[in-house]
Amino acid sequence: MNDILALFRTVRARHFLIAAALAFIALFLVLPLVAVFTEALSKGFAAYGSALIEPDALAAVKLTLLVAAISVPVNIVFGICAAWAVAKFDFPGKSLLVTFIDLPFSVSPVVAGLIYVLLFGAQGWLGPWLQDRDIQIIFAVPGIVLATVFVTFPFVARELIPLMNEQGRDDEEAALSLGASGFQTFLRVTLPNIRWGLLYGVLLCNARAMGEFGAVSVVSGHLRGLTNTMPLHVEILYNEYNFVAAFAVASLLALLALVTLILKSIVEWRFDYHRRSVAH
Amino acid sequence: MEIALSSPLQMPASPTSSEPARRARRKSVIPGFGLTMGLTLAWLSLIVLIPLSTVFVRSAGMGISDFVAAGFAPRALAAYRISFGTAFAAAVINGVFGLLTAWVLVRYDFPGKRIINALVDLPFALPTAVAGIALTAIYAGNGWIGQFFEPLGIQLAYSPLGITLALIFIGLPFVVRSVEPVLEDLSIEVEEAALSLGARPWQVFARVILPAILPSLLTGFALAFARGVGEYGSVIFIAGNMPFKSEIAPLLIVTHLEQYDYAAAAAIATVMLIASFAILLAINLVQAWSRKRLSA
Amino acid sequence: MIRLENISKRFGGYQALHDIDLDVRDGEFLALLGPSGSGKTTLLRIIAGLAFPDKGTVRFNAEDVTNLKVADRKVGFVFQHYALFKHMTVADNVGFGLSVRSRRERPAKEAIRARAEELLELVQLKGLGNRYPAQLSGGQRQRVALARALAVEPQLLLLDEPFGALDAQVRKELRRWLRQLHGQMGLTSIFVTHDQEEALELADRVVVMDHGVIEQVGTPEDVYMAPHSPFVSNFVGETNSLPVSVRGGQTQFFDRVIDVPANTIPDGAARLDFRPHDVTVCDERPGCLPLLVTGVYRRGGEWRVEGEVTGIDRIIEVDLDAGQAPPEIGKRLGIKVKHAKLFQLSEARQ
Repeated sequence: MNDILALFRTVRARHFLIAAALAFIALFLVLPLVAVFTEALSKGFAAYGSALIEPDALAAVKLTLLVAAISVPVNIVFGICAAWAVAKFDFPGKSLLVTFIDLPFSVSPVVAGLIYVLLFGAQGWLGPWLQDRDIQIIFAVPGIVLATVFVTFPFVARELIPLMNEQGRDDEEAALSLGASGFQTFLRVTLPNIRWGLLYGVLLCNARAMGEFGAVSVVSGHLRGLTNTMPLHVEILYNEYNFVAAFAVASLLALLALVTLILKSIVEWRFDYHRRSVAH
Repeated sequence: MEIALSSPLQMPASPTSSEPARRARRKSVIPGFGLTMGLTLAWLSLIVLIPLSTVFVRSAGMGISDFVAAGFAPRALAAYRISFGTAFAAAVINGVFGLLTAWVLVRYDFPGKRIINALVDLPFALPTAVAGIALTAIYAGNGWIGQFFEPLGIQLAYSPLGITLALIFIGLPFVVRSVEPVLEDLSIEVEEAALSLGARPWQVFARVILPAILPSLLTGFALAFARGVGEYGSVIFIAGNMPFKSEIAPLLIVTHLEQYDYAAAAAIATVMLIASFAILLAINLVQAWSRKRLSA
Repeated sequence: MIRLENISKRFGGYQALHDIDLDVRDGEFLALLGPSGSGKTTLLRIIAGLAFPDKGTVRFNAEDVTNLKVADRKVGFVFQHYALFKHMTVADNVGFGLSVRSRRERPAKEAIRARAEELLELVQLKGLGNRYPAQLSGGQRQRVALARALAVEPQLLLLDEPFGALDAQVRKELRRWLRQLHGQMGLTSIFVTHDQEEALELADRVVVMDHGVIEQVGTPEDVYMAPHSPFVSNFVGETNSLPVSVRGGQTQFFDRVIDVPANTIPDGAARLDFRPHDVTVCDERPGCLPLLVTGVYRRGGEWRVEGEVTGIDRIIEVDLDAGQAPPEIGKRLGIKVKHAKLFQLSEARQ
């Protein structure tokens, strides 16, 4: 019995394990990725191209970019503030604060959308107040932005907090002792130290911002050409059995995902940045 | 020959973040506490805490009996069964294969290893809707893989099985990324020590390696499970979405919303939120327990 | 008895061990001493079965174990960083080797526990069985590692830089204690170290290694007093090296004749090695080496004097009895070498 199990030490066993892992990865990761592009190009490049320049598709792309352009910078600022407060100071309730910052991760995207409907929707808390002033949040772009900000909320903070914790306060204290102001210290000492973690967090934040589906779906209203982001547009096309167009738009998002992965890898390999927190 | 030695400048000790702040230390040398803390709390409250509270407020405003009627209606219960059941199954499978993947990535070298390592994060980077339609294309009756199972009468898509397959994709990175760092830290010497004491390879794995990575494995499992329970975009395309059969809880919430039944939607959301928090709490407890045992 | 014959090992483009021959006697405490890269750890691991040689054989009492797996060699291995099982208690760690035996050979749980307690007492960690490794100090952890290795009653104990990760004070105490333990048990033990002080203090015999080759095997006394090669002379103990020339059995440092016989060294350039304390003070006379004192400080019961010698740009260090007044900085001091080793210059890798 032991001789057979000693197989684990042999080269054959090693190959078997590697093959098994690769098969698993191929089946669950590679295959879906390949499927997107294959289906998108199944009717040829012409069909692929025309699907992408279709006006509603272009509107969806524009909206996606707009939403990302707002939510990512906003969460960068927040993430830096939160990380600065947590890493450079001591105060009670710190772990509670960090837990709260993490909340959007553990909440279903649908619930994320739901809470804004409950707040700003026609029957929501502030519904009547908004209606009186003719302000439309739900089923309009502001709602989409809010929902996206919610779901991407923790990404930058989550990268920066452990990083800045690990880097400590010595550098900042040294700069201050040399006469730098708080802002100068941040700009010229802290920022260079955290740049790769920041970039990493921005990459993840952006990927989620552009790709968010569930939360945006709930607040969106699905008005073609107006309140559809790319993922929502994919859904509409798919439900209309317009498969090639759906996969064509999806392929753009898949390309975004690949670019994100490549940039992530570059940050990890070339600049030796290692994630400290558990992946989310 | 004299060597002038000056004593090094004494830097004040940095306060450790784990100790509670004492009165004397609350005034930190570093500026910006007020600003950053203020912004953080304000943003946190406005974007996260207040909106989240609406769910609980709504549910509280319903009264117990209405809440139970909506949150635990037969259709809701079926949805919870589907959501939690498939998420659990997917998390278990990810537990096994995620461990295998982490092991292979940490212990062995092979061509393309870097690419595989980068690919593991694909479920984080790929929009859920894209994953959803891709998986459906693969597992539907006429799909790449589904076509082999169709004649056998096995429906992969439009069933709980399809949901599970989608959730395996979604949860895959959690276990791998949780276990990887712990496996890396597990020095080869510990394995060699066990072997030198006469242990057989399977004993080394079962008694030395597995116990050491168990906390991280559990954490990864719980994270994958929590994510799977709430997943929407990658599931609704492949799910079939038939009430009582293949309808996930998030979809039920959306259905209630579309019918303007905010109360019912809030009730189900409350149940799901409580479940998520319970899982989070469990994770924190596991990590605290393991930290206590494994560090001074 | 352990016999190593023609052991060679290569890692990629780098030859770690060249044709090593070595005998280890029963019950002896042997040190493998050398700088990093000398191959000493590789050799230890080959003896253990954690690595396998490209060429050569390893025999335990005439039995060829070269290709035998570590689990079958019945050796106890103690790692530099202890390699304790963090998730098991100390007692479980110590009893591990017994608990993984096949059903036939495995003792009852109580017996394993009892043996673990016995060993913990032996290593002076009585009562700590229920603690976890994380709760112990470095010195305590190392003793647990030792107890764990001894629990399986190995025929050979191997230690890889066992005190490398510890503070100086703890190291000293553990060294003393290990020597005592070895005397008590008489188990054949081989340990690897780069600390020559440690090797000289603990070992019955020392194997000095460099770049994958054995430079010298001998008792600590041999290796210290009669180094076979310039490397051993330099590595073991403190050494001052002077470039000299040999002419007709006489040693000359520039124009001075040094009173060190050179009968066995052919004429030509040579290197004179002497220890800091193998000198006496002499007046500025022929045969004396003039030292320009540049530094004096107290070292235990002696004055450590640093000085320059005209003609070379190295600092010479000598130890003088602290009972006398220390020499003054800037003054000249004459020193006479009492005991030294001469090496032909082709051997000496300056």
